[in-house]
Amino acid sequence: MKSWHKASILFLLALVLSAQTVSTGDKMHVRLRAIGEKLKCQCGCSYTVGSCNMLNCHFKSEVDAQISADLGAGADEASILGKLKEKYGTLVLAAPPAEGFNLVGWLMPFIGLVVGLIAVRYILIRWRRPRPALGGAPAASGALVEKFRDQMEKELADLE
Amino acid sequence: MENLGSLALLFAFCFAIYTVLAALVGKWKDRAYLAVSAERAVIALWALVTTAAGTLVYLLFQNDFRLSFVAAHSNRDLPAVYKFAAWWGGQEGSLLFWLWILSTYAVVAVYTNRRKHRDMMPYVITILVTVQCFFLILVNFVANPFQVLAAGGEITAVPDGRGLNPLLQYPAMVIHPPFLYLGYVGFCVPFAFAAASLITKQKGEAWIATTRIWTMVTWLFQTCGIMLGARWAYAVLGWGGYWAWDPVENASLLPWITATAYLHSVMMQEKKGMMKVWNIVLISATFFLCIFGTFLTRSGVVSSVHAFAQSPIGKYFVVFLALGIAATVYLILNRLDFLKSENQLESLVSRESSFLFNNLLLLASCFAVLWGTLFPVLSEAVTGEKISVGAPFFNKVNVPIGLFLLFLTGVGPLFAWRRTSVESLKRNFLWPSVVSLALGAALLATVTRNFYALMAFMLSCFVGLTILAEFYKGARAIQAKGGGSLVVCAAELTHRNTRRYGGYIIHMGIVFMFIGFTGAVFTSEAQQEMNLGDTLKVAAYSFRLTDLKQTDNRNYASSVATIEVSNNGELLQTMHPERRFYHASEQPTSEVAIRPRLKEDVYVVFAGMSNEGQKPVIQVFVNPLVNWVWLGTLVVIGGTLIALVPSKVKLAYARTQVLGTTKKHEVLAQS
Amino acid sequence: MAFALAAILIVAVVVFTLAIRQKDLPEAVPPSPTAHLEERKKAIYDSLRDLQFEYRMGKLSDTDYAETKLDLQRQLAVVLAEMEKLQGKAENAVPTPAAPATAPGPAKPRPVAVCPRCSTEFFQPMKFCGECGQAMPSAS
Repeated sequence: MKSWHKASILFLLALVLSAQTVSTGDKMHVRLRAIGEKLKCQCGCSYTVGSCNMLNCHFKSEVDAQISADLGAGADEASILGKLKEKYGTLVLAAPPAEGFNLVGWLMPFIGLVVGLIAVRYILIRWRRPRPALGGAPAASGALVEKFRDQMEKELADLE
Repeated sequence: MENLGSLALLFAFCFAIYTVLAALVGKWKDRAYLAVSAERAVIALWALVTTAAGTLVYLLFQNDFRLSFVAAHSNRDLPAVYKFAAWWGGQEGSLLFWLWILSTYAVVAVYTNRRKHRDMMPYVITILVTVQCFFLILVNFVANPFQVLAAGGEITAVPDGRGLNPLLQYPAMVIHPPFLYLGYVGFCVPFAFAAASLITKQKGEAWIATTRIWTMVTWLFQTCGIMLGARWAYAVLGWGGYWAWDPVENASLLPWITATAYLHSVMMQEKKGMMKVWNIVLISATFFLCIFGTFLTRSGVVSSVHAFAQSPIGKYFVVFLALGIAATVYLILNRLDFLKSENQLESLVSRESSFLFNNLLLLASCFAVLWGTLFPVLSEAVTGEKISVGAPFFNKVNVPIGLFLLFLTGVGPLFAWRRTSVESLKRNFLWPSVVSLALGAALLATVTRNFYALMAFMLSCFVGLTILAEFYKGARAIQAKGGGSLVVCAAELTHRNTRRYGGYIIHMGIVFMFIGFTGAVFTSEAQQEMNLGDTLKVAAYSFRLTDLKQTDNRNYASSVATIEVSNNGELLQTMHPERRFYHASEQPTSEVAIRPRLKEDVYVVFAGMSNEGQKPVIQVFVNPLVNWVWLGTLVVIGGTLIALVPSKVKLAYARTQVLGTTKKHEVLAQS
Repeated sequence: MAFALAAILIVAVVVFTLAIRQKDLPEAVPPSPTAHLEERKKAIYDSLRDLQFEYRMGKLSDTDYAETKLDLQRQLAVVLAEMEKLQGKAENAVPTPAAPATAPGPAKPRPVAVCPRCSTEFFQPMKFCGECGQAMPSAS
């Protein structure tokens, strides 16, 4: 579970379309922003608290103030997120915590992928099995190929 | 005047019912008269819907604020182009717009096939007009755009409208919805042909050849629509990004993904007669996802900035989707025997299996997006607790899938059809792999340790090189035979097989886009209240506020900041971010100032005035590589256009004599 | 004004949809019995051409090329044989292959008119049945 969390932090920093991690500015700002990216702004915009750009957004200001205070007090990310979740409900987390029923939410895409892989494997095995041609058409014998060889070579040459 | 529109819509509804009946009875009873009449009714339908649409646009231009739609989505001082765009700015109008595009497509489909596919056309018409019928029910009885405002039994008017949402008053936004709709609606036609070919049990793959251009053009429209939306979000919304994984954005992505999967897997059917059932499933899924996307935007099932107001319209969509999907599933199951494919795989290492994996990954990402979009609804139903599924979820799930897809983009085209030996693989993969590994090592040492960013850059390099190698080797082969410069030979190569090489160019565009997506990892950002003369530093840049101006016009009031951007003391550019306040809608917006460069964008937002002291708040983003996303989009568009050009093929081989003359022309025209 | 426009529009579309003259009906084009085979043949030739080109590009090993080419030729031979068979039939059935109206089997053109009494099929519109004299249903 621990490594899973670590991976999720890595993921977040990854080539994301919307997440902006800050490479300059003070450390506090960077951490504030990183935590903000994990919270959904409740002001009616569709962004995270980190990227909500409404000026004086009541929700963002409130949450940012709390995070800054907690960070100043030396709290770690998990406990800050936990506190905010308690205060505003699970809705405030930009992605649901991987526990209880929400675990289904996290696992389903990967279950889907695995089921798909099994299906592809099955299909490949079936396709590899030699079968007689469909519709009762006779499998082309060498003789048949020979019969049309001249025509085929000529027509192909014409195509070039 | 609104009565003309209402009447036209009502008659269009009656006509739609007649069209379906005429087409079906004409087919079943073998009446040529009815068949022709149904085709003409499709044109008549278009005339009626166009009249209604024209009336609405006319009323918008007339500032007829007796109409609730006009009052809600336009105002007197709105610039003309946005008055026109107000047509699709609201629920009722946009449904009419959808309907109008569909009826136009139907006319084009009927006209271009007036001599072809006589046995299929009645069913094609039936399906297209049934969908029109559904939208006609909506605009006639549920969301009528010609509703007038009434008070105490009298028609009333408001003095001025509430205006078009100012966020939508941006050039890209005028064309973003039409493109998206052209894409959404366009998939009705291939779906109609696919279903008609199933119903009539066509021999061969005629429907694929007929709908090839439709699917490609529609896919192009959809790509443009999605990317225009992203561009709009980037340039207008002012939060520094372009994709927020909002439910409506996701809804437009879903059919695009299945359509992409279809465009690939259909090659299997054309080349080898394989995957017939799967292709029908994909084209049907695309069609229903288009309807589903329209539904999601309008029903208020999921909350989103894009969504139109909550309305009873959702129920109708659910019923339509349920009936449509049930009918399609029944049809496919019923025709399974007929769809028996000659599935035979010569080798596991072949283009065929790479297509299977490509489809698997595309479908997996489609499923992940769909699942994440709907999971809040499901979770709330099960646990009773509201949750959000936002960007972190979608990124976590889709980034690895996307990287695998990128990898397949590189290797897929290098696998030959039927079989590829280890020896061939070595020939094709050795150099691209070596170079990208070297690049990866260099980047790891100098730029970043981010695993996904490294993977993305390495894979982009790998795929780019394989594509270039394809062009180079092909051009060399042509040069060896006929001579000429490499560039001319590469052009000749592309002309000989436009679909393949156009496809490679599209892949190149996708590579560029991935490079751009990866840039988001390295974004820097800062925000500050500034006095005149203050300086803000972000990355290597410093920003000095030198001036602040207020202006006012009839549509909006605005404050414009003047900011000097410099890098190491050297003045680069003066930028003018703007803050607007729209009078009619009483909404503020930001006009972002962007300094676009291939390496990185400097993105300056006038976020507003601070509460205390009324000082301007300036927000600055430095977004590396983001321009590669737009560049990639242009390359994708160029590639698709090339793929649409017919290939230069000499059809010199003897044709069979039984062919009628018309048939012969058709074959020639298609090739 | 609006109602006048509406009336004109509606009359126009109704007339346009219903008033179809005999010459507006498309002539029935017999579906070619070999169309799907032609399609197949073209697809295989395209594959062969691609294969040859990729071989010249140096993307394929010699054995890959030889095996795949043989595979394709086998398939092509089946298609060509099938076409020959169908053509042979067509030539046996009609000495003048130029007349598409009498192609065999599935190629049989759709009759324009069928007598409701004696079920004789006609390939041009008729007022009365040429066999039994029954009045034919009009307009179809």
